[in-house]
Amino acid sequence: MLAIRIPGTRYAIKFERRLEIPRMIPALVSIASAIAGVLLGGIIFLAIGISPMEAYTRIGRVVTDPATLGNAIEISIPIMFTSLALILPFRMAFYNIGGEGQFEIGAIVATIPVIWYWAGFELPALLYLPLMGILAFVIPGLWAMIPAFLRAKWKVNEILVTLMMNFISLQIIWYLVSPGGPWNEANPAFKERYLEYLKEQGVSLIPGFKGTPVVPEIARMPTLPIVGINAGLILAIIIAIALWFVSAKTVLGYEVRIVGESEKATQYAGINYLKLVLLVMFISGGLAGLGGFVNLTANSLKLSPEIATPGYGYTGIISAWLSRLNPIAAILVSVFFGVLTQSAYIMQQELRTSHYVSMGFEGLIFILLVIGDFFVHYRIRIIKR
Amino acid sequence: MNLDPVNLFLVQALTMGTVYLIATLGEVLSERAGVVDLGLEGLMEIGATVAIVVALITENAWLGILAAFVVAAALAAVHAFATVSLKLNQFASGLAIYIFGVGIGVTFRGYARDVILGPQALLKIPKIKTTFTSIRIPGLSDIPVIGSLFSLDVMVYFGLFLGILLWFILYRTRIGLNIRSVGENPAAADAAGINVFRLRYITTIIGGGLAGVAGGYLIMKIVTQIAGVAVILGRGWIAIALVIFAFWDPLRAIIGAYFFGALEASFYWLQGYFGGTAVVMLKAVPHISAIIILTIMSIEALRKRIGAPEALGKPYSRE
Amino acid sequence: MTSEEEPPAVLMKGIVKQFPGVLALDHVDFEVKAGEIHGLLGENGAGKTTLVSILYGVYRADAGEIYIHGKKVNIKSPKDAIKLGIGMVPQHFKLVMAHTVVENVILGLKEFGMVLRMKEAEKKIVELANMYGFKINPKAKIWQLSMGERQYVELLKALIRNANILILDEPTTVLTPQETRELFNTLKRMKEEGKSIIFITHKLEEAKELCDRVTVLRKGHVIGTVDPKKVSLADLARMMVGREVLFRIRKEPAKIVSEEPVLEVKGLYALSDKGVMAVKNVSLEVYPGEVFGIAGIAGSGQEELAEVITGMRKAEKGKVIIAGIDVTNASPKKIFELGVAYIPESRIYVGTVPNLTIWENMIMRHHRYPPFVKNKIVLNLPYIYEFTSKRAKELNMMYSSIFAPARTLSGGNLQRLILARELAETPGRKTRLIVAVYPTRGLDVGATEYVRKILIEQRNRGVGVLLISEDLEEILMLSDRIAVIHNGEIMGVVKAEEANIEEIGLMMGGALRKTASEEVKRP
Repeated sequence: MLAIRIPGTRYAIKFERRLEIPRMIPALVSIASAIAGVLLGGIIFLAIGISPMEAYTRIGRVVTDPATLGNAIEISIPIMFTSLALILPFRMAFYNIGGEGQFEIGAIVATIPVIWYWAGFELPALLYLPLMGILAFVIPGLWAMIPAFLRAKWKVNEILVTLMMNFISLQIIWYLVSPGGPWNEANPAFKERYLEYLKEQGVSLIPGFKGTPVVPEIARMPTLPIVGINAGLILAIIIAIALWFVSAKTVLGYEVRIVGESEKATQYAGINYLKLVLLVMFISGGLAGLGGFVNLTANSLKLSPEIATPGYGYTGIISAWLSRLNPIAAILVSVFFGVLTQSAYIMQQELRTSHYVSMGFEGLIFILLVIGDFFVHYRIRIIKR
Repeated sequence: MNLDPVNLFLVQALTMGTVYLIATLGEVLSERAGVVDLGLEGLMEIGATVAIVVALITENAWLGILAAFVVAAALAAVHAFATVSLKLNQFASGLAIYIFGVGIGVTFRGYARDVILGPQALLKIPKIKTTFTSIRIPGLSDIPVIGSLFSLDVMVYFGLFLGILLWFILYRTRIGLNIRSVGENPAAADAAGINVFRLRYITTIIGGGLAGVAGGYLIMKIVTQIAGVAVILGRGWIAIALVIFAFWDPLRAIIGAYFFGALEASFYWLQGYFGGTAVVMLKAVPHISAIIILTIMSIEALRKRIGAPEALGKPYSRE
Repeated sequence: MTSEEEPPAVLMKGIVKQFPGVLALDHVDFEVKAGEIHGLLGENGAGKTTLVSILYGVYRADAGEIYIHGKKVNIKSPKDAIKLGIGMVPQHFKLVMAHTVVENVILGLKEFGMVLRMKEAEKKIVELANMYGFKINPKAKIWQLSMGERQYVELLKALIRNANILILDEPTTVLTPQETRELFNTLKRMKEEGKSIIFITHKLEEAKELCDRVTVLRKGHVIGTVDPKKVSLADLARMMVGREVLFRIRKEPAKIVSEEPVLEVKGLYALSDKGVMAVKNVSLEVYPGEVFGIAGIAGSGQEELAEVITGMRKAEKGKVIIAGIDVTNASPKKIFELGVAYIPESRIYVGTVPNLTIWENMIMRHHRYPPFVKNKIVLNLPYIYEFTSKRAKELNMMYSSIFAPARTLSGGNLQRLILARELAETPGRKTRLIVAVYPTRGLDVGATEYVRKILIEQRNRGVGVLLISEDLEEILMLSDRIAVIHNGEIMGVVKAEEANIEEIGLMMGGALRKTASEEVKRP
């Protein structure tokens, strides 16, 4: 119980631990943190010499203009995947910070059929997306099981391990796509087909480019009619609903809840922690990997270190937290971050800021959220001394 | 000065190592009192920005370092407030600072270069760099091979000194005993009359400030440019892992930090000799090593006895 | 003794301390003469620790006065107590395991400088140790020391701060007989040096051997202050435990359903969380249809025993056999499947998860088995909700909704929840054995009666009940056979009907041990 005296008066502010947390409070705190973050962010803009109003109008424009809103939602789709990926692990108090790396591994393995294509080895057209999707789920899933195993077996800190693995996966990308590397677009193996294709398009290879050849049309994510947004959105929504179902209605969801609450009760309830965490992390890595797959086939269209720049994995952490680990809320919160990121892009172009601005925003919101969490557990009361 | 490759390698290793060392020592201090600060990477990034901007404006690298310390310490104070007073989750708070620190740090650096500083300012960079040129200790630095060990810049010696100082404080002074006790068993320390909360604030804030210094040194000595891109690139996280490898002991941290400095240096050296893209994968060696060492240490029964401060990561309240 | 002219070292008058729901101390008078060893005897909850906590400044009394060496004082915090020369060796040590003896002893002291003068401190410690006749290596790390040695470290902490009134809270619980001997010698030396010692214990023989006077507390009252050399152990036992009129539930004689015990424990050894052997060579059998009660002061090893039986703790040596199957170190899941219902000591965090809803708590442990699940993956929610409501009703639970979090339930209703869950009959599993640890602790009268009723009902239905309780009255009321545990060992097993309160009190206090032939092996 903290109490702060108000100097000069006979009152004090007392912080009492809440006995019951009203259902709306966590959501309210989340919303408050987001708003406060955006407002405080205005101060950041002042610091870099931009009038907050300029920033806010652009944000407003993004939301109101259908075209930019569509872009914002497109950007938010990978975030949806990386947020959804964290819901189960966070619920069981397993802090998977490796969403970024799992995302990247997903993009990497989804690129394999693309590389085959340009090297002359073609698959039936319909097979591409499903194959890439499956690869992008399974391999990152296995990748994510490593920290799970280390934690269950030897209590190795999962935050550090997953973090380290993020840097490893980025290095793998660098290796594959750097000039001279096996997947770089200038690789002679692709010469035949890729140069042909580029000629048709009227473009040429960019010297020193660090990236793969482009994803061919047959392997791209289809666009939904009317809304003009890629079909990854549907996949994300389906996954959100599935996650909701798993959390609320299955044994897995139930056991995850127990583990997240009490270690002793886990033992008492006969739950096998090792099996559970391996399964949960497989799913988690897989979902983050799917995010990488969607991003590759719909947005970036080339594998390069650039896919790490927006930091979707890290945004996913904040998004998951902000949505209080509720899958449906995660979709909406992801859109919020998509809007933020899109606004940041626009500001980058028009006001010459860097894309790191959105990261700064997110960090700010996260800090406020963490502090705001205090109010979820404590109530303010003014008492007379 | 004509240094042969081995000398160059040593110098690079120790220089890189110093970046790790200062950040690691800061985290050792903080964790010894029981507070984990995962925001190290963000603090370093912000420190880098503040350092180079202030240095270019004032034409004084040391002011830059000082400013880096102050700003990073201020951000670490937020972390201290959240975790010590509000007793919130230390991991979440640290992560938030990491994301915020990297985001704001890099953004502001790009903005500073484009808007605040102007092209003339950038010309001063070489001058800043000279602050960190080698100091030749007469006589000793002429010894072949290891002579280069005595021609390092001030910060390297400072890092070494800091490590020894921290060791001395932790193990030989009353304050150090208090810090260690707070990290091991805050209830016992509280019962002995020690102000647990105040001590944790101090260690976290100073630790954070040191991270800023490390970032400042990195950008002014090694990176020597100012651009809107991240420069810390995972070193902050390795520093956190280094604390564990060093068993929270400042002297071991010196060895560990120089080892990782050598790993980095060896990457540049190998790339120079072998070229080719496969060498890029070597950049992942520090991270892979970190995972392996972490695992080994978790398995060892050693961990129980020469291990983490007992109360690390747990908020303390008098209830 | 010339203490007649000297004011008593400690005089506490009319001390009252109220905690929510409990009057811990009811106008207690307590006096310790200078240079005497004064024992404070009583069962758990008698108020001993509360009383000395007030003396040491951890709590403040609601009413009453304290005089130290004749001067009235106001002790607001341990700092004040230390200034007055009062030192405490707590029951649960406040030591930093990874640090050395010196580092622990001088923590918080300014006398040894900013740059620590370790050698000086080490010398002082050795000096003090020699003065009082015990050995300590100042450079040893706490985790390397035995419990007895750690206790000396706590003692040194008090001595180096010039304490002349020492409080020791149940010091011998963690000691071997040898260490106890050494401690007593040390304390006697201190007495000779003029120190006054308050010695809290529940062990009768120790009180008799060591103390000049003994004050017996029961339920917050002083029963009396006596010279232990002039009274018998049985007298002390009676004062400690009381001879109330026992209300025995009229129960039918045990209907033993089978010749085979449902639970066998053979030569069991287990460690406590602190690494001390808490269960020492315990053997017992429980038959279906009887209540086998284990009486003993809390902390005598019964909690650890229950945890080993239910799979929550590792057995170092020995066997646990349930329904003929060796389940030593088996998982709690396996043991549950065999029909064991576990009513754990901590209702919150082990028995229930406070933040989860009532229905989520109700199906814990059952949740993997049909019909609670469909196809092994999906929870059969309609069945679960119905099951929860039904069981809650059957056990008269008061609750707002099955979707309310468990922490909104009162203690009594939480216990009903646990019982409802553990005793539920589900396809494929029938309750065979109940392990109940302090099942009525903290419950009001109504809930207490209810829980006892349920246990007897189950017993009448042929379930074996292992009842662990600190409430002797409860044990006597419900059990068919009674074992008494003291310091990790079973001191004896008797028939409830023939139970002799004094005998039991003596066994609880470690002063009596029954031979193997006297043990009542079956009901």
